[in-house]
Amino acid sequence: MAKEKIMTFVQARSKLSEIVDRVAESGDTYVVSKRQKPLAVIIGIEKYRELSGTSKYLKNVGGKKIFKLGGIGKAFGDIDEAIRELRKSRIEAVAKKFS
Amino acid sequence: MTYVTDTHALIHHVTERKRRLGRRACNVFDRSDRGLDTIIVPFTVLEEVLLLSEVGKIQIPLPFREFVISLDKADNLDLGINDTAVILEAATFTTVRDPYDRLIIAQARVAGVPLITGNEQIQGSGLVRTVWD
Repeated sequence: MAKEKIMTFVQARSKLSEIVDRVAESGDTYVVSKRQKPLAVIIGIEKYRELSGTSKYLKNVGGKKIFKLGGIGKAFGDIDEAIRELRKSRIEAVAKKFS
Repeated sequence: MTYVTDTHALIHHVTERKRRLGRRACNVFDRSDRGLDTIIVPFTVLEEVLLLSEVGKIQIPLPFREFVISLDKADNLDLGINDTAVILEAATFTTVRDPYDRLIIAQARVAGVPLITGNEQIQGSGLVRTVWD
């Protein structure tokens, strides 16, 4: 399980390489303090993206952030039929609840 | 140009079942992937993508949360929210019985843009401009 650790600026500086590996691999968070005040946090890139709402799937194309959807997924069976079945089951569930 | 997508159209594009897409629909999706057109993905469509992936009918190689965040942040895609305007618009017509189709049509009508759909009932309804063949 990911842990939160507090360390001084001096400790963080001396172990920076190890800390970067740990935040990337285990999801640990390091709070860095200076003069006993917590001032900064070191977190892994995935956690940062999760918190900031950014995505690695966006590509910069001509200055625009593009999410290329074509061909990223797989479908199994007849999708049109699956959508019909899904809607039918949802409508029936509502009808049953109020009957 | 901007378009709204129906569920089947989006899924056929995402899963690269191009033969299931109409020629013009395919062209619009390809243009969107190059940043030339914008596609609005209605909340209803997103909800169906989630449910279909949960039952294993489709597989998207990224967590759903990341999928939604990416859609939201991308310049070539927009999320269409089921807000007051959409539900009020859906209430103005009853000729389409499927409540999910109604919300998707309403989204396109509120946005004032064509709907990408191969649904012949919607195409023939006269309620919204459609793009397919």
